Amino acid sequence: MTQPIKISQILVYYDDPQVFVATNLVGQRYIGLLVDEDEKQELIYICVPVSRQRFEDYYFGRIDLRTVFTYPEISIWLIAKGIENEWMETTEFEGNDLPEDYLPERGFYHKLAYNDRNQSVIRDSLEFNNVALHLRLSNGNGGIEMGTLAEFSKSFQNLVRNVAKNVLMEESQEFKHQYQREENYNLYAHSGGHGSFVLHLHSRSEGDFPGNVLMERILAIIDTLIVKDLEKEKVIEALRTVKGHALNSYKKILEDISSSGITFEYEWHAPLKTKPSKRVISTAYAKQVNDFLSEVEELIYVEVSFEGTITKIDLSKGAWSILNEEDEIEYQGSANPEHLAGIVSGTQRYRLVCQESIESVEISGRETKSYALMTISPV
Amino acid sequence: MREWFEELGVNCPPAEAIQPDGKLLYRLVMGGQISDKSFYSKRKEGAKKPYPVSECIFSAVSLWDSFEQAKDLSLLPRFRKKGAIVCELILHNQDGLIADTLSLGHWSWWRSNSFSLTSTRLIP
Repeated sequence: MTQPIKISQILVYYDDPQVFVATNLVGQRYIGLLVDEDEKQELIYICVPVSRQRFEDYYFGRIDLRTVFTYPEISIWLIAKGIENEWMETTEFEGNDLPEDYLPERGFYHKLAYNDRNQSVIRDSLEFNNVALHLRLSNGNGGIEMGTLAEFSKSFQNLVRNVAKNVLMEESQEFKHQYQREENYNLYAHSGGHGSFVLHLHSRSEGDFPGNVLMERILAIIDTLIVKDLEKEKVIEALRTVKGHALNSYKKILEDISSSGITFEYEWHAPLKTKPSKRVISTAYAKQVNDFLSEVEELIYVEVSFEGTITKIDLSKGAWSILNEEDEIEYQGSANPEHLAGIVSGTQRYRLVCQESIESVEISGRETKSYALMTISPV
Repeated sequence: MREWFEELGVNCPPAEAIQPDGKLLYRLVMGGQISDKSFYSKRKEGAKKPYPVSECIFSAVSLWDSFEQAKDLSLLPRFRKKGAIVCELILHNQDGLIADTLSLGHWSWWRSNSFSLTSTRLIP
């Protein structure tokens, strides 16, 4: 009888996947080990089913790889041949024991780069096979108001979303097409911790190996934004790496931390990451960085241009609307009434250059944009 | 301009690849003898690309940044059979580009035509 399995993580890679984690159609986890290749250069793997506990025992270095295969929880091994396709067909190994040829020597352990006793976020990333992030808010009062929790959650998600848009803007059309879905930059809550409040989140971001998962790139960028050293030059240099709306989202988080007296921290991990990453923003840190940010506020502004016909114009209110030809969407904005003098709606086409700002809407948390006219010229 | 040892695809090596700058790295060599083929990628050898691995990684040569991790690999059944020995190599900037990929201590190396076997030695 055959059953297909699919690789979900490569634990050891050397020219080929040497040790991997795979799952079958019903989510049963296997550890696979490369044992040989045949005359046609087809790779041959031996796979053993593992429970979550057995997998963690191996992953956290409590048992070696030989033990995983010689003392299986269930004495069933699968042979998988060739891994060119997403799903590998397997056949059941016939025999009561594996031959020595198929086994590693004693002492091959999975290596972790650290001795972190707090493995909670690591366990989450393994469980979801994706990025896991723990968001912690603390104010020393033993409880966080619901509204405050909601506000910070929305602000952090907005930061992640806007960094994602910056990343996508720099990428090829093919990459954008593959990863622009919201699923690749949304965070999903699955549980919480008590004490100072900890929200347990995970990503459903797609990505191919090696670890080119959009959410990992986003969080790595946010990591570099939050520098440990409060030296002004270093902080401003970090701020310059993230411009526009993403920086505006970060500014909002800093303002909220400053005004609420809350300490904000997060820790995240991804299946192929060597160790979790952690950042802390205290009230004092937030206030200082916000002061530095006020000196480089031009980084927050984004310049956009529209081309098309003016659909509405109101000189008294300094308001305008344009039907943008590129996306066929009507945009509204504000302007100094002097800039609108002589502008006509109808058939004349114009090019507008505007400063785009993001405004957060309190209740829904979704961001709306506003456009302030900088220049207008007939086309 | 650097010439690559094998044909590489678009955006390969990736933007995050760096110059090795004299970095000491390790590879397992089969049969106890160093040859040019000891530093072929699997793509160069004509193997089929495994599904989860990108074309770019498959066109790279795997290296480790510690002797211990390279030595550990020789415990695996794939290498036990083939008399694998650890080879040390010093990569210079003209030898290509490297990037740390996929797992702790693992580096992918996109080899240039300038690489010479004189930068290598076996560690028995």
